[in-house]
Amino acid sequence: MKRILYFIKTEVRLLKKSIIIIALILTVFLSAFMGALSVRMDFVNGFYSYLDENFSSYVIVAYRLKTIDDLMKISPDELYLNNKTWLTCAVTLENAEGQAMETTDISENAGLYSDLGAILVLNDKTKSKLDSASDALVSGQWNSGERQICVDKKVAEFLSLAVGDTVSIIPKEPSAPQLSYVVSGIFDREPLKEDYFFNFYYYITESNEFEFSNARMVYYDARSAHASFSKYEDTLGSLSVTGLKYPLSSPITDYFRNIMPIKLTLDVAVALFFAVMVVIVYTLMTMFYRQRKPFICRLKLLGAGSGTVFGIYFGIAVAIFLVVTLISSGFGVLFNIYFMHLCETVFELSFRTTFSAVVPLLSFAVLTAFTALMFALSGRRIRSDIIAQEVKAE
Amino acid sequence: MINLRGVTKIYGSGQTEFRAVDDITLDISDGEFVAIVGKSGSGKSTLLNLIGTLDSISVGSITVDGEEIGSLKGKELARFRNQKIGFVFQNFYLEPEYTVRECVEIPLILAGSFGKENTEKVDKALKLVDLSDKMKSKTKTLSGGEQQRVAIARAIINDPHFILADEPCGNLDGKNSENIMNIFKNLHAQGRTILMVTHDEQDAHMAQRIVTLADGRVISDEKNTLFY
Ligand SMILES: Nc1ncnc2c1ncn2[C@@H]1O[C@H](COP(=O)(O)OP(=O)(O)OP(=O)(O)O)[C@@H](O)[C@H]1O
Ligand SMILES: [Mg+2]
Repeated sequence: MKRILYFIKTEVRLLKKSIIIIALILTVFLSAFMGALSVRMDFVNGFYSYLDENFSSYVIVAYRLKTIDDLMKISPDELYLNNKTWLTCAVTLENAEGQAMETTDISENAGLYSDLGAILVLNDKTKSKLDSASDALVSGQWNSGERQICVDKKVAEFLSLAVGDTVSIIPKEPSAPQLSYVVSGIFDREPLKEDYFFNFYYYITESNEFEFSNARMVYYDARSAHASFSKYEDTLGSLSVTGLKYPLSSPITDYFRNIMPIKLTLDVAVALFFAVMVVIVYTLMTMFYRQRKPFICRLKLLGAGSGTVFGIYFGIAVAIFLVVTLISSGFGVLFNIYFMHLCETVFELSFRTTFSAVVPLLSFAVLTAFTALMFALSGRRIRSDIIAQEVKAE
Repeated sequence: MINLRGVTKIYGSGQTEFRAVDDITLDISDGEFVAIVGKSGSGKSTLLNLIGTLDSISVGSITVDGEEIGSLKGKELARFRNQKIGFVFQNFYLEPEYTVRECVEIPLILAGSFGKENTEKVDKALKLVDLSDKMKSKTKTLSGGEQQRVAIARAIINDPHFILADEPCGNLDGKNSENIMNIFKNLHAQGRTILMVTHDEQDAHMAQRIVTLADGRVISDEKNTLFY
């Protein structure tokens, strides 16, 4: 080890210029590679989370419900097929005077949501939880029997409901039967813990923006949708077939047009930069080795083993890669920030800029492994007879 | 002891097959000073390279101090070159950018030795070749004669049993040649075994024994009666 370090020191002193040139060229391409790769990662991650947040509530008509009882039959397992599965459901709620309001969502605990508040329809799961939450009741009792319902006080206010009043739940499907429910209680959401109300997926919409022909639940499978961008497009397509128009006017559809070429360009750029990098490393490092071949031969003549020779040049290469990787990571981050800024101003897409340590670590590892292999192979070629030839050549 | 048994070096194959060294059997005792002479192309350098493990033997075997050198590999081979043999070449074969001191120190470093011990050894070797005052000069700035003396200092730094010299005076004028030959004589007097390739009759007659090659074969091997 000590002797390798000794010769690394003398070689670096002699090869200063070559080393600086190699480092500069590598820095340019490694920066470009890391910049493109980190932009690609942030961009795609950012886009997925963007879609998850803004798009997920609308997608895929999974169920067609004729009655609220049909709705009740759906097990939570079905609703939460994946870690990110959301549902929306819309029905009309009507009081005895014919005054109506729209609901927009359904969730695991079989509550209906409107932009005013929740309407609790009994199921076993909610019942056990609600029994212990009597302080949330403004009047009446938690619903406990068939055809009973509890409503948020804002809903009660809007529909002028009191305990004992009847409310109709009207599916959007005209042929589906209407059901009557008796209001057993009115509650205030505030004192209730969050988990009674699930995750509050309030996709609040203006009631009249829904152009459902009947109550539909919307189902979004994040995992399969992440498999490809085109899945999102398929989803949009299937929505238009079923006549659900709402998401089709979403700005996301416009983004697709920009995002696909950007993603493709980034993929190509990343691959290209990487290929160029490898070629450059190969060329520079073999030049390096060739330039020092007479020295290597003399060193072997004087009793240096192949391991020592490998150690010297591999050591220098690793040192170069280390410095270059650090500098390039910096440039990569700057490029990433700049690109994301462009995204924001040009496409009105704002993504968070993150920088994953995996990128520089991985490129460093790849370059190092590649060089090790290369040097090991070219080192094997400098055998004894080469030394004799070299002696004659000089 | 160096023992050659039917040593043959074949370059090329088939039509272009050429025997640069052809079935040479030779024994060199410890402490001998042997000159190898012959016309250009007779295989002198090839023979020396084979003994020095700088080229691979095609047929036959060479043992150095009982060690079969054809079978040496990796670390063993490196150690053999580092410890057993000191090389001197016609074209010096030095590190142009190294100082004289650094250049002479290389075999010590490769042997894993560092520090003050090296300094003393280098000083001693350079004194022997009368170059103590050039220690800090780069080798490329030295004259031919000086460069060859650096090469000799480098060759003897690890105190090897054998010195293999291929036309050590080939690039030097009369005065410098004499100088170098005197150094070899001294080294021989100190008990080292020296194998020297030369085409200079005068230089050859500095040796105890003269082996003459022609077409890769030994055509004469005799004691030098003029040896003093
Ligand atoms: N690598 C090689 N490939 C093919 N032929 C070779 C090779 N090396 C040497 N030869 C041939 O072997 C023969 C002996 O070469 P060698 O260098 O040993 O001669 P030499 O006696 O040292 O000559 P000189 O006095 O000119 O140095 C020459 O004819 C040469 O052309
Ligand atoms: Mg020769």
